[in-house]
Amino acid sequence: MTTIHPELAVARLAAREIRNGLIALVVAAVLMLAAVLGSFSATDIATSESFAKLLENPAVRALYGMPFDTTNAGGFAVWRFGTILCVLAGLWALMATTRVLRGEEEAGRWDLLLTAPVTRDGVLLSHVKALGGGSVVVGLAVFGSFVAGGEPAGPAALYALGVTFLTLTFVSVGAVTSQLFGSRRRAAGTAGAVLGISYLIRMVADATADGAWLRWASPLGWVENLEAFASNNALALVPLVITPPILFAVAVALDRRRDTDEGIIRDSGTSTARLRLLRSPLGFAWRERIGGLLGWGLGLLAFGFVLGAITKAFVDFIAADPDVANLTADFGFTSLTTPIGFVASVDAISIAVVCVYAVMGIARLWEDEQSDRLDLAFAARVTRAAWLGAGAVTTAAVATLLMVAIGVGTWVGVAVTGVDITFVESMGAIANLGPIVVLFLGLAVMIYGTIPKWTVAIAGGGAGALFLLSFLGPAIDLPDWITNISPWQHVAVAPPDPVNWTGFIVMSVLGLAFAAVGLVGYSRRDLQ
Amino acid sequence: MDGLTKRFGSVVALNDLTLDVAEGEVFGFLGPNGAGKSTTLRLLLGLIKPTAGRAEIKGIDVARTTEVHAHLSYVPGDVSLWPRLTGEECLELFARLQGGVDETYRSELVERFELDLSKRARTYSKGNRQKVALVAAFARRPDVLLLDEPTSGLDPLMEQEFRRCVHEASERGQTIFLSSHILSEVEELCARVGILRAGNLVEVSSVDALRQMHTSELEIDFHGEPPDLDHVDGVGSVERTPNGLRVKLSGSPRGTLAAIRDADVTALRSQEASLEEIFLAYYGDTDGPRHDDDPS
Repeated sequence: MTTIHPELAVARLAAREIRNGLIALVVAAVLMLAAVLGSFSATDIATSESFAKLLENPAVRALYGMPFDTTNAGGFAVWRFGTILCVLAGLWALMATTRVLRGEEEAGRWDLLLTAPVTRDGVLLSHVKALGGGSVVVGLAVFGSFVAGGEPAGPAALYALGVTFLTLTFVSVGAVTSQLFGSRRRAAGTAGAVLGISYLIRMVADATADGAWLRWASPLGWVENLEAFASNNALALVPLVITPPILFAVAVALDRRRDTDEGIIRDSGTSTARLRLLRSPLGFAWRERIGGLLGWGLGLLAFGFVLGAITKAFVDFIAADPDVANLTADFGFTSLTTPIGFVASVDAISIAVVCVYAVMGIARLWEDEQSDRLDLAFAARVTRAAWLGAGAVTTAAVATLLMVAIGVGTWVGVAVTGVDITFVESMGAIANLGPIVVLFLGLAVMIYGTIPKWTVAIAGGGAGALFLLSFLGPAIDLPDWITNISPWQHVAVAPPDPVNWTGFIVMSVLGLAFAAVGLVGYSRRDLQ
Repeated sequence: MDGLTKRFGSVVALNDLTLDVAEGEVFGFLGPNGAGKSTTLRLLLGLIKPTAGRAEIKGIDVARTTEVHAHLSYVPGDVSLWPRLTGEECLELFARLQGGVDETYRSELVERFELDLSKRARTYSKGNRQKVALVAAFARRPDVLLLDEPTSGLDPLMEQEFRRCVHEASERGQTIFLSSHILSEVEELCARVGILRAGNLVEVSSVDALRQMHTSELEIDFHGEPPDLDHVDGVGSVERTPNGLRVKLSGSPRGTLAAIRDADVTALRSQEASLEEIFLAYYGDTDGPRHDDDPS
């Protein structure tokens, strides 16, 4: 008779579930670090006076993070891509964690796991082990990238440890929210809010002269406080190391107090029927999406506000030293000499978030399809095109409202700091980027309509990769034809520059054409 | 259905299915797990497209889904609902998507199936989700009902209620295509059945004819030595009993009756094969049950 190790079996299962996302994250991390380490030229940076001044700029610090020592390649890479890397790792951690810890349970699959000879704690901790293993893999990839790039092993190890424990921190955050809420969407949304708030706190902390202490309030700030490749402050690992065990203990304690399939915060099992929006596929699709509008909307409103509020600092600085403007062009920002130019440039970041929302809005149809919910809908008198069309139109409507939230938030942000930007200009800057959303929404519809299981990977991954490309390309001197694949290269900084109508129209038409292909394909393909 | 075929990659899920179900008929569709029953229903619904062949419902090609679906309702074997919608909201959604709901009848059905509509679908048991779909389907009084193991998860009382609904629908002239594993259900409700195995339709017949076609048993008690029936036409096997013989028939009992005409028979008991035995023969035996009058 073979000895049974049910915990090990559970951990292996969890490892399988999280593998694909982990591979994508590791590839992204390795590519980013290799690119930036490979293209670093110490002499250029050291001799560039304007670069040093740029680093002093609060707005630049808010966007990229705190520069501690950018005269060596490691420190430069940490400043340049550390924040993005940590955000990606945090996103992976919370998505993967809430999926295996809450999504699987929500789908009823935990009932079978829990009837094996394992304890409840055992099942939870086996999943945590697999996710912890994933965090270590991310750390090893970071360490390997720095060492392979010729950087000293000590600081590389310190920074890799920081990234590992940051990832683990968001695993533990996801583990707690998975106990709090009965639905994966809420668990992931709440954990995502924690990451978003961490990001905003870090932005404020890095941008303000006397706000450095605030960095201790943000996990992303903890990693910055390591000052890797600069003063290498290993003591700053303390909050990163102690937070995950505390939160895991909380998760285990909460898990013991709840029933399977329920969160600690139960939403009532009964509800008064609200029938008004159930009368058409369009109404239903809208009803499905209004819940998410609040969370995404508030997040983008706050993000827009912070970007608006740092505008003044940046522009004042540029006005004092116009040489720097040339340098900022290398970082993907052009036309930064006016406040509205700065707003239009940084809106390109916000619009990437809207693109992610748009892909998610379509991907939820794939979730419905996989759980066979759509069978009953399509056995009724509704066409596939009408159903997917309703999903696409309502997703576009919410995306539009999110863009309005960015525009309003930014405008309020600049208004309170006394910068002269009109409401119309602020709205115009975000509207100028609309075609990018149309493009990725259309792409998501096309992929879902034809090869649905690739929706998130191709449309979502594509949006993320092409967004990074538009920043990375100019910074590491990639050939133009590669950088120009990114849609972000085909929008003008408008206003103040005139709208790039060619790009505007081509992307819009392409997005609509993609959507049309998706609608036709969806009508023809087999439901899974 | 005419030559309906569905392949998933190299796997043939359904092979060349040709079948007619008459209007107003209650047709039972049987077969072991994975035989292709659900594939057939999903093809009829246009949820998946046939690799070859075609099917019509009420004379309309099933590819024209919006027209066909005006005439039919569907109940899957494992109903999946939007977890945050309440039962009432689910029914409203399906009513709006399908149209033609008789609201009075629907309220009656909700009562009969004892369904609590204020609860969210998330909190429903499998049986309760099943009821939501059944109520939504019957409340429309559609011309055609496609039911895929609709009673899985229902308690026996609710299953009785389901049978009553099928009887009512049948009396109104609605056509019902019932895929099921519950043989008593099929026996009670269906006049004709089709048996599917490994994607092939192996039998279509009325339940009575199926019975006649298959092995039944005669127990014959004799006064004195029983006659030798081993080589009589229509006899499968013969066993001794304390009082006589147990004869397994594999065809008509005519030969056996002729052979015992002159014997001193004290008692004669016949036992028909249960539907269950017949199906077990179809499901289990790779070549299907042997008929005595088959040339093989």
